Amino acid sequence: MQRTDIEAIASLARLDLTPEQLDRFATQFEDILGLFRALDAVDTTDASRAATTERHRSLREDRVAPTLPLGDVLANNPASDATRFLVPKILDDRAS
Amino acid sequence: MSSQRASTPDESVREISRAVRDGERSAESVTRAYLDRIDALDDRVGSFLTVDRDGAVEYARKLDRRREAGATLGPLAGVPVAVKDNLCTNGLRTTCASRLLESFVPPYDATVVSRLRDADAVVIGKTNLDEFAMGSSTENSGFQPTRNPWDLERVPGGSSGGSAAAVAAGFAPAALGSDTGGSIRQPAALCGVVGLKPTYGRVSRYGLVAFASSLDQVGPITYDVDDAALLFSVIAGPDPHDDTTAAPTATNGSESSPDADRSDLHGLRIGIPREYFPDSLPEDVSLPVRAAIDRLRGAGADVREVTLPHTNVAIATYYVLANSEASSNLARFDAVRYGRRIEHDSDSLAMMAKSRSAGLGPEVQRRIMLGTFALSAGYYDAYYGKALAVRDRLRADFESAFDDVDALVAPTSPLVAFPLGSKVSDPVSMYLCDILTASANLAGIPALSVPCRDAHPLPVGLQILGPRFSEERLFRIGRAHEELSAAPLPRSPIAMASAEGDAS
Repeated sequence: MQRTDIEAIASLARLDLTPEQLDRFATQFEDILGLFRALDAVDTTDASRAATTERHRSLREDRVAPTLPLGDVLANNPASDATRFLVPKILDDRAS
Repeated sequence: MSSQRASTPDESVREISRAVRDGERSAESVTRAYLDRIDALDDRVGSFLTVDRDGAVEYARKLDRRREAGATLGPLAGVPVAVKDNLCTNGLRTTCASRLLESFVPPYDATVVSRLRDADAVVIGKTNLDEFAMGSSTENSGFQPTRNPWDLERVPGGSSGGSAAAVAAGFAPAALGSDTGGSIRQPAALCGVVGLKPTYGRVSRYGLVAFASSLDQVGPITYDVDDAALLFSVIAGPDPHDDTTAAPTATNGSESSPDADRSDLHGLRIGIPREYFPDSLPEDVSLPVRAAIDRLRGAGADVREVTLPHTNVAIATYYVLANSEASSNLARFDAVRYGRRIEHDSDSLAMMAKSRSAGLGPEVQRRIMLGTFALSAGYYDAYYGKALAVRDRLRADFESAFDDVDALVAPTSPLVAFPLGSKVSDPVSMYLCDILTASANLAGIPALSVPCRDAHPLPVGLQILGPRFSEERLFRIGRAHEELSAAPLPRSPIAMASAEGDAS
């Protein structure tokens, strides 16, 4: 696997990796993907590809109920003005 | 401290709850005794990330006041319980052993924690784990490694290594862990205690910080099978907050009474999966497990060999699926609503990436990368889709085996506790630690690890697996295994040490 491939995956995963980390991942990926390629030998004709084990879907009725108090919701917030979550801007100037 | 008899680290959950209910002991004295042991000895083991001394003592006092006022306390009356730090506890920080969540304080309890409190247990603290439960040694914690109470230079297993070590060290008579690929059973085996991975859907995952949602289950870690069964009875059951939870049906949930002859296994068919005893299995694991199987046969069980032919691809299947689910589940840790943020002047995406890379450890980042890759365009069918299909084959292996036998018995771990640091730089070697446990998660079936009492010098776990919702059958076999063992349950050197400082 090429380093550019690792950079593309890191971008998708929202990780900011150092050059050393990129090189290390590239090496480790080869080992780990070698382990994963053992799956190729299994005949899976007609096998189910369901993403979960048996699910029982015991759905409940929608019900109006109080939400958490605003103070509790924001208590773990890394940046707020006491009423909202604050983030750096998400649109550049041309979009506004 | 109360003048009543002090707690000792070899008390069972049942003994403690009975004594507190009957007024022989106060919940406060029991709680303080365990907290004193933690204060005196846990700096050697490192099993706790947070000890809630004030909260636990206050909660215990409330229990005592209720009892004095005439209330009948619940089945875990005054029992100190350690809780893995990926289970949300209202008002008590929950870190998942990640620097990213170093200061996260949940505003609600996980359902299993609520059920412990409803049963009048005392939550004494939060235990260490591999960060976000990703690991098999508890060395991947963002805060500290945990050491094995049997040998402080060895790992306790993982990822629930803090919970298993806490019970093995006598810091709590019971703990909760979570098991995605073996994370309750493997540390229980390496620490010489009992651990149960319940049937998928038997215990609510609400408030468990998700790693791999189709595999995760919460379960108990205790000294013996009866205590595990008691904890399980408290935490199991449908929960409207988790739509995968279900109750067992009448046909698959019944089993003989625990009051019957505990060592009589006549009428029970036990399968020995050939693939779980490879030639490479070391004798320090295989000999005590085979001796245990011989005792089960001697107690009347019909023991026969069975085959689970896809076992050799279980680890590959597990790591593709678990990492794929993890890459999606951990996307929520973007430092917007909670978590440590690395400020960035101009760009939200850069802020998220810098915060995630600064806060998450190398193993978590590696797994997110692998999962992102397995789900990405061009590779999805070859990896994730293929692994789902192989999972179906693995599930069919178990269904076929359970047509012929009532339960399976095997080792829990292919290795005894290994030295600290011996596998951290080799991810594939570490992943193979789960080779005998991950299949149960993939198939959604329950599995119990019970110590082989004659293993020496390090603990070995006997794993008992059954069809979905067969926990009572697993407890029956586990109890028989305990009864049939001539040796008493051994205690770790740390558990034998007193809080006053006569530890070896």
